[in-house]
Amino acid sequence: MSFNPTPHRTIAGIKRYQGVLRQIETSVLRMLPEVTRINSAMSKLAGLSEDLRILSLNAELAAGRAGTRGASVRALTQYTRGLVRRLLELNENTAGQIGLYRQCASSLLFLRHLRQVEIASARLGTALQGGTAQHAGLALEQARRHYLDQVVTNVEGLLRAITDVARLVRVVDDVVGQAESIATNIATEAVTTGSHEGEFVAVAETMRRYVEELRTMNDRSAKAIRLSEKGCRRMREALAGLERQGTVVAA
Amino acid sequence: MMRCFTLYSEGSHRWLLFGQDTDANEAAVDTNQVAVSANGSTMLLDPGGMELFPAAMGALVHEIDIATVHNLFLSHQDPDIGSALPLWRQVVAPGAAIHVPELWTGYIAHFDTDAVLSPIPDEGGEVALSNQVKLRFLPAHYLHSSAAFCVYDPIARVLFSGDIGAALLPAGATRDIWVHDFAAHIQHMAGFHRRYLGSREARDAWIQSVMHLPIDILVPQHGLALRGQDVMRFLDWLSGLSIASGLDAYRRGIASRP
Repeated sequence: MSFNPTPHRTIAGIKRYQGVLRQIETSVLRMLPEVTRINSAMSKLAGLSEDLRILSLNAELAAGRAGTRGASVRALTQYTRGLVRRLLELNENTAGQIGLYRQCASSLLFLRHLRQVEIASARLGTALQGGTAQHAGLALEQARRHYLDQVVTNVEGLLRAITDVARLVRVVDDVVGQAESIATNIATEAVTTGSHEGEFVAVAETMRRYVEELRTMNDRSAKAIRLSEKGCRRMREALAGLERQGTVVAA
Repeated sequence: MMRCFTLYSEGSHRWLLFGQDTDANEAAVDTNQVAVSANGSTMLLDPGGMELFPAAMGALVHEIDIATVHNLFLSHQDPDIGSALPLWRQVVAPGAAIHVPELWTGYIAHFDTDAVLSPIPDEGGEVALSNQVKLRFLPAHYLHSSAAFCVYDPIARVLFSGDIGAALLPAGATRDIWVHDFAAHIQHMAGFHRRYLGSREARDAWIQSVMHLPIDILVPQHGLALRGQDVMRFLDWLSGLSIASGLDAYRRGIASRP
């Protein structure tokens, strides 16, 4: 987004501007619990991936013990390990999650700075004339532009971080779907493994439980991501409105 | 509305105090912001906290061209001293020097990571506002902060004493900036000095270091300024004051319970 600067602003315009800043600040504050929900839900990913990895190793050992009768189950467990690798790789890529907090915190800080600059501008607008006022007005206008740019950059960063996490959730969703199919197939193949049937049924049930937990984690994250993304887009619109307000010329 | 008081004025050489903001949030302790100008160059002393910035900026620009502020000084690291630093840095002259105690540079950076700080060594230093007007940073370590400085102007004979001489006055009242009855003023200073000043050795060393200086005006960061004979009265009172009252808490505190 670009900014259209002007040092001439009405007091009413500055007050409207302050109102929008407060709305944006409220939006960021409302977003923080959603960001916490996302991080809290996604923090379970590492543990569940590890559980799934151990389960697939044990299932593969059991398939080995079952000999030729366990051949099809072994193929399925190897596929499961591939899925686990994908989950573990996702977990290492937590930049998006960390970015959510960083961008929220920075946005709040710069919004607070911007609000103070706006209050100073409003005070100045009614109080001064002459060269000193021009210098002060120009200095505050430059400060306003600086902080507005910072807020815009942070909101864009927040949106990028949310998009990153949303992508991660989509991949987990894909893995969940595939793992569910594998669990169903293992349960089906278990019937053909004779005395090992009980062992493989147990593997399939445990895998379904892990899959269910992953799905719950993902559902919670997805809802929080939707709300955060909506809040972020609202902030973006409000910021664009602020940039337009920057062009209000004093009567 | 933040008020402005002229502490000293001789030609372009001025000491101005900005404070007693009638719109200030009472939850935050009242502070004095000081500007020293000479020959078109200004230094802001303890420019204040973030919430105070609009009022301080509004009051300052009535008196001083913001483009002449080439120096900022933070006596120590507390938020009421300089949490508005990032805001001031945006509006004062580009590249203005920010003088801070060397010990606190890494901590003050938490207010403003982009600020380039000019560290003041423990021994102190001097900054020239003009060929004649040179401001001296005098050590005031452990009073109350472990690294703190006062600012002395030998021509104006003004000492900005930071937290030394500070008084916490009842909120809301607008008043003159000068102490008129030192004996009556002691009640507003005593609690602050007893609890916030922690080192008797530092107190004695500081008094020794400033006693020989000609000081007409002593202006603290909180409360009222002292002038004339009240400066010596204050030094005398401070030298005999029992300080570091927080030590009593070790005896009374929860750790001493069985």
